[in-house]
Amino acid sequence: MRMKNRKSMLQIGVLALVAVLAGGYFTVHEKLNLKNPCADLLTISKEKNLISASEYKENLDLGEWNKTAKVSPSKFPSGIDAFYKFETDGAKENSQEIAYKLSLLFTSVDDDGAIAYVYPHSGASMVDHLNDIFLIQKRIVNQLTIKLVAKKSTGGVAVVTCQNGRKSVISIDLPGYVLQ
Amino acid sequence: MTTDEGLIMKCSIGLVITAFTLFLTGCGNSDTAAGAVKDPIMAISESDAVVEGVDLSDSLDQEGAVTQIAANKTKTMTLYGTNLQLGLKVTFNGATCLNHDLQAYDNQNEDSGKTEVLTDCPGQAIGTYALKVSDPDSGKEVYSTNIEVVDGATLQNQRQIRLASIRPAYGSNLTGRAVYVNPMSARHQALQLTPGSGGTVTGLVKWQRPLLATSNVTSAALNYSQTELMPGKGLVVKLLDASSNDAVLGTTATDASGAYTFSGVPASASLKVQVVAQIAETRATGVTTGAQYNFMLRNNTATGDAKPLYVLTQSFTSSGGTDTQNLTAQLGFDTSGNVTGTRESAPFAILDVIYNAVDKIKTADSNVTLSDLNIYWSTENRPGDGDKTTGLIGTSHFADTGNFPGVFILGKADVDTDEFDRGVLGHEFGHYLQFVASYSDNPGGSHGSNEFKDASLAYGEGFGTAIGGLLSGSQFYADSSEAKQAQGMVQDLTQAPAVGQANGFYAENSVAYLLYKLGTQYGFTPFWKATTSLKTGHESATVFNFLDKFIASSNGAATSSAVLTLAQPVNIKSVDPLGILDASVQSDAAINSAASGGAADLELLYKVMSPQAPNGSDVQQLTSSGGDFCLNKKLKGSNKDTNSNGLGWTRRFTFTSNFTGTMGVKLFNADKLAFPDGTLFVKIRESSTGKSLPFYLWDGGAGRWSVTKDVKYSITVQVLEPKIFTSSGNTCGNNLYLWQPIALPAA
Repeated sequence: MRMKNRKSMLQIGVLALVAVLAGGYFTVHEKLNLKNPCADLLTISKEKNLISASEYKENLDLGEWNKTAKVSPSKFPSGIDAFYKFETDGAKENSQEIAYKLSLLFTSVDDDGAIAYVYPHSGASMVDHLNDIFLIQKRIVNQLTIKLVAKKSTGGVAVVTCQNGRKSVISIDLPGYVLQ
Repeated sequence: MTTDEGLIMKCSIGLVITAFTLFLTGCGNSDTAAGAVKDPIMAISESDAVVEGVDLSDSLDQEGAVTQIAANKTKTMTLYGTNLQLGLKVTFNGATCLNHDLQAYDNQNEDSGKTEVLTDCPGQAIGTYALKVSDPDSGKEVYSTNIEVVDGATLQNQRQIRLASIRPAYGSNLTGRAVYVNPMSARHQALQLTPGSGGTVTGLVKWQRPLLATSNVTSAALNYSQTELMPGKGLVVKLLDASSNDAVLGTTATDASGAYTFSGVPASASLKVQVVAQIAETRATGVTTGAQYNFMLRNNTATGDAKPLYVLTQSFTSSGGTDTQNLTAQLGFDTSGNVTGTRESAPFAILDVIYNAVDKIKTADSNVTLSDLNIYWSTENRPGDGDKTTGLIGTSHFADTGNFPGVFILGKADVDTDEFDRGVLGHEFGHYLQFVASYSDNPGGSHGSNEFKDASLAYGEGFGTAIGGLLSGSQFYADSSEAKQAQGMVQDLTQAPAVGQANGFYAENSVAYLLYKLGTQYGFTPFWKATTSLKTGHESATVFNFLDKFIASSNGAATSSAVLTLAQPVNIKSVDPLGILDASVQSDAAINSAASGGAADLELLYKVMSPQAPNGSDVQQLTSSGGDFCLNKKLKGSNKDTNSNGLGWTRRFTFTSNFTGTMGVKLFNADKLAFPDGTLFVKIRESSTGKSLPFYLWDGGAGRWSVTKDVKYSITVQVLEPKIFTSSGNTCGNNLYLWQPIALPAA
């Protein structure tokens, strides 16, 4: 009887060990549950010494700015609001391309590690580089300025914002964009 | 169009009252009262209402604006725009219309910021009449349009003609041949064009899709270097006569393997096989059993009001024997994820999710009837605000209003494409199902997975994700995005929120976990029955209502205790439809005032009120207690000026009327002041039927509706502007009172 009891205790011990290991496994698995969609950007931000967006200190007159679309709750959005406006620098010399200056503002930032990532698409390209990644700071209005070129009636800019492990992707058409 | 969405009202600052006694006598002395006490609430700027248009539609398959209504019949019209309020003066042919249901307008996207007001206009004789809207504050006319009133039978006939034109007629129009109309027993309907003679055209329809980039589904990225061919299931296939302006010789549908067959096909004919991005079953005249649905995949950026269906067409000359015509919709991307050609497979990928969903629903209800639905996808559909017909759809979403109601799906390569994101597709189709077969009073607005949100929002979004997973057959909600669709997010529906994350009836991920668990453990049939039984007979759509219906729908398989056990990991502790907790249940430390700083009454979902019987006087206060409530501004997701959808900003009340007559409701803040203009939405439902009730004659401080003795009612109040409370803390001492006002005038 006692032997049986000892065996049972051993079984319980093994079961307990298995349970702990299983618990450990599931704990690890759980961490993979909701993959941080900003992980790649966070890695870049740590590897590179990203510059921070500047603070926009003027009175924010939203009448002068376009507000980007909010993103569906089903897409777990960043919660960061973005505003934008374009200035056209005119046609580049000896080129069919038009140069633009895009000003972006970001508000509703409440995370220390928030990031804005901007890249061109649909035929647009950034002047001098392929994309821009910036740290954006909480509790201020962040400002970025991007220079772009694109052929007339083409081009767009994707603006990715990340904070608290949530990401939004929105698209801004260059002025005069025509359906492709 | 959204009359089942509940009733909403908006306060007017012009009629602020300061003392409870004043509300018994009306709002006439507001100026004195407003000046007598320091108002702790920020002023809200006053602007004229901007009415952008009127929506007259009442079907989801509509394309373009509806301009005609039926004669001699009260018509509910939807005004949409900004700064709308229930006090708008609306007339149709000079007759006064009654406003109700101020609510968010979902034409642009889920967060458009626009509102709509439903207005009931008296029936008019045949003719063309002006609908005029005046702002109640400035008195200015802010909108006018002419509406054509036509014979109701004519309108109904036009409707039937339209339905006939958009639903496939499975049959043949060959001269002298009997039309073979849609037998419900088989989706695959080979047409006997010339029975016993002629040739056969047969083939397989397939579409190409990329695989996910990683096999363990920890990334939503699409891998275009690995693709697979999928069967095109349930798709409409037409045989066209190329020598006769593509006249339709016959219509059939593919089976579950993508196979189709036309028989009795004449020899040496110049023909086309056309696969249409449409799945449908339609009952023949007189047939009342069998499923009925019609889902159409259209290009919203094509010109004109009639948006074309996507098709895949192949020409050939018939041999008189067996002609095999296989059609494959190509991906249109190279192996690196660059667009290289027409993205033919996208519409069929979207419909594949819908096909699987409908097949699953049919297992629960073989006679299910679902409204015809347009699903809009375009390579230009991108996440930006603007005109949907130019591709600026905001995001993938379902909209039940506007000139093009339906499901809109993103398709812009290198930004966000959703055609292969089955979880996203299932989620949006889930919202459609909620609208047509169930009920949602999701307040909408921005929110995330780790936030404390209103119970109806958490349920609405969690339900969409759960039913999306159940219907798409995937436990992973995956959403690819960005350049070459190489990024994205994944949520595993079988995992409860991690420790430290929002977890409870107020967290959408908790609701998604529990509902998905129920659907997989007990099967889809009780899930679907619970879903459809929520169409009526409840106070508000929360996880508690769903659990109550689910248990009742499971034929004893799911007991209360078993469901509560399943709900333990997500901190949901009641199956009572009102979320009432047993006395033994410990307070939720994540939201209670002692441990977390949340407002004091956040776990009390409903306040039960007991109005006294009226004494016969014209105006009488019927409750003096029971309607007090807190507003919560300390928990994540409810602590911002924009978090009106946060936990504690929507409060719910219920009571049983002890008289038949007119009931009024008024709300005051902790200082006994009316809430400022535009800061309150109020919805009223009859609890036993779940029917939404028109809430009329908003006079700046209160509104009223008709009640029946012994009938139970529920009231939902949402404070829209948390920013009016400048304090960062919680605000208790707010009150809702019931009263008997002067009776409503006869309709």
